[in-house]
Amino acid sequence: MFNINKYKMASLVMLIVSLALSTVSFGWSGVTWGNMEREEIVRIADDMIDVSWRPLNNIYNYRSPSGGYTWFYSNTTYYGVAYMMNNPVDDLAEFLAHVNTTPGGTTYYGNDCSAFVSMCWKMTQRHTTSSIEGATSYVTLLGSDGQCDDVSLIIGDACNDNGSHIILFDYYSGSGGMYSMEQTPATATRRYWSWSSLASYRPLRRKNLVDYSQYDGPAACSMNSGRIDVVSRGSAGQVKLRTWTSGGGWTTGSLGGVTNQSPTIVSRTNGILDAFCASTDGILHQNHYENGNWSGWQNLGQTLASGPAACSQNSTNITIAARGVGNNNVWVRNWNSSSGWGSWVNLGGITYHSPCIVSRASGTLDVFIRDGNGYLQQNSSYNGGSTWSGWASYGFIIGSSPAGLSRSSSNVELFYRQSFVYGNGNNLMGYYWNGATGWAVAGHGGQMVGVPSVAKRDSNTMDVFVRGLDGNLYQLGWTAAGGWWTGFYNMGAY
Amino acid sequence: MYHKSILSTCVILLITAGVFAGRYQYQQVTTLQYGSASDQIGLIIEDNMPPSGPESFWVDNAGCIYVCDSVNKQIKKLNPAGKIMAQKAVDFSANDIAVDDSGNIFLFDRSRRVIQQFSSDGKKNEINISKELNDTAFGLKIVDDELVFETGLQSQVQLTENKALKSNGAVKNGIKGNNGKRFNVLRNMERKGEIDVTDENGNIQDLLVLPVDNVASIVFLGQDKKGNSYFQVEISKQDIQGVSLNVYCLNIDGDIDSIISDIPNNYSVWTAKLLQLCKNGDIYQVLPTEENVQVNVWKRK
Repeated sequence: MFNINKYKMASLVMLIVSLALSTVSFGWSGVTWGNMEREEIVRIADDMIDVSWRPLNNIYNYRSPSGGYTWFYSNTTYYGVAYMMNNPVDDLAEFLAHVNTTPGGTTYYGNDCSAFVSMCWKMTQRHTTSSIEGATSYVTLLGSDGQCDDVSLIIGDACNDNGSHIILFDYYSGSGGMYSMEQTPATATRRYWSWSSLASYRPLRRKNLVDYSQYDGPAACSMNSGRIDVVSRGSAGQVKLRTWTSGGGWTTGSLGGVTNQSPTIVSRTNGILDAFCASTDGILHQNHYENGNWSGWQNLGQTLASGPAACSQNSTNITIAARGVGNNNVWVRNWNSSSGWGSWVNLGGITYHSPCIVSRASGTLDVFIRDGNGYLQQNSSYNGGSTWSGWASYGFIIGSSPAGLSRSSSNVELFYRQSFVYGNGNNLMGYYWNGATGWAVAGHGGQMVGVPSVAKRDSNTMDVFVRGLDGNLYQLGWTAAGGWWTGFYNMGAY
Repeated sequence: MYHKSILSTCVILLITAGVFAGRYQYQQVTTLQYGSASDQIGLIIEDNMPPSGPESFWVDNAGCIYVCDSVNKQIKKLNPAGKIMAQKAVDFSANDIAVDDSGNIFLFDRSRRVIQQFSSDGKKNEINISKELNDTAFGLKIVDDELVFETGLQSQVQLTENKALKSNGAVKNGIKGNNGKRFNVLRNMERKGEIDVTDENGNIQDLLVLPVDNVASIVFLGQDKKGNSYFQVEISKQDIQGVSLNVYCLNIDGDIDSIISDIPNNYSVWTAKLLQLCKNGDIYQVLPTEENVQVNVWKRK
């Protein structure tokens, strides 16, 4: 049986000794303020939570004045940086260096909850739970105390209990509770929180968050094996058109218009193209190409919260998908040559980006999104959009909305920017499905931002287009016979 | 199949709401003071540090209550009347606990990704938990005399076999109930609580929607020996901050059997479990408030 009195006595002795002898002074003191991505917040948090370590000798690590010390044993593996309420270590390397070389005894290795968030948010100084809500140059208050359940939290946001504790939001469980990333005794961790335990917490968001997936991306399609058309948003907001033909190579022109979002383009049959974009006030517009001429932009009368995505199930059909205004749901709308445009259908789901829509065969539609927490999700219809399967998550985070196409009725090709959660957040990634073997992932490297795009000239040829970190447009090609081209071809200024 | 409409359940709710609350009788089992003495529970509350206190509890079929006294690094065992009968020292902060009918105590240590088993004969056994399970761990439970680990992703992993810890078992979708049923709960886009009841193979047998708006979270607590199903539901309060804590009990036909509303939920520290269902339908709560630890029970009449 544990002896309480001995424990208290030992703690008191350790406290006195440590106060007298403590010469360990770390002191993470902040970094230069700047933009950062949510994925970077997650990557920093993951590093501190997932690290494993074994102290060289038994240590009793300072926890707090009344909390005393936490024991960590030499022959034991621990996960997550140790909790310590003092000056936080400068970084993970410093923590590991100390625990790997410690002579044992009283130590001050680790981090506390507010320093954990300050580091993840790359703040200019170490804010406490008492000071962070007042740092309004760096932090947005999303609500009042007890309102964490009332707001839509996104991965990397925080819930703060003034003067007590602060945690980072990781994701919602399907049943409505939330998972955290946090520094807590004994070690940094992820754990499930009920809202009852968060009644005094206030939702916060770091300012100056950027999302590379919000950058414009190109869109591409091919009406036949000898032609590719790529649209993108030009520097003045106009819809820029690049056309490649097997005989003439690339030419660049403009479809005019002014948009703040990525446009899209689709070909339902040889000789016909349809470009779509949202005007600066979000209204969906269409520009139709037939017999060698563009119609000019026509107002389709629906306000969108994202650029549109489009696919064609057959030569008489176009299906549009977009993020809806106000609810961030995914909406789809069918057009066919006999009855024109149908009604918008709300597919639910939550996304803050453009969706992706693919048709494997006439009557089959697959919508893919980057959901509110960054996860890839899919919703499918097998009757042309009359009914839908419901959203299903693939369980991994993607850095941008996906782009996709289908080369056959048993194939889907998705492309997206890699999430910082898993590595270099600027890599182009591929995620491929075929009916026989299921899904497979592949990395293609590159230094991209925004959303990629892909076109197929025929069932054995694909061309992927990405916007590079340097502001240029790049092309990466694939043939069934030769595989991927050796590198990204620089097509010049985006 | 899919026969439970919101409307019909709402009508039933309106007609019989008064009856529902009357099926339970509240009783405070005991109140424990904070401190480090043998009859107290540890609590650490300081400026700018996470409050630490009792992180979990378990009630066995005899009505004995086990409390993870994480601060004092002890497991306290209370008799059904709430008197501390025994305490067991552990050399780590236990983050969750479950106890089977044979007296095996299972403790979860998140910082080491380990579950330890302490047998009644003094033997100790432990298994390592995968990172994925550690990260999504929701609650240790005993179901059909087997230890299972639930995750917030609506899946369950069986961790014991013949009363002994085994390696991480296969992940099964849904939370196990009685008679081969599994339960998936979901807060849908309209902030309502949905319940998918499936068989062991995942085939949907029933789809229920709780007749309540503004659901903040829903958790399947389990089934009692009569087959009634219990759901812990947090509901966002309107016009004021915070959530209310409630239990909805559905009978074997999927209709509302009883509702326990506005359960005290002033939890001052993080806890792995808010409530626990016993096989006889009693609902237990170990509530660490700022002043003391309250042990409450809603006894089914």
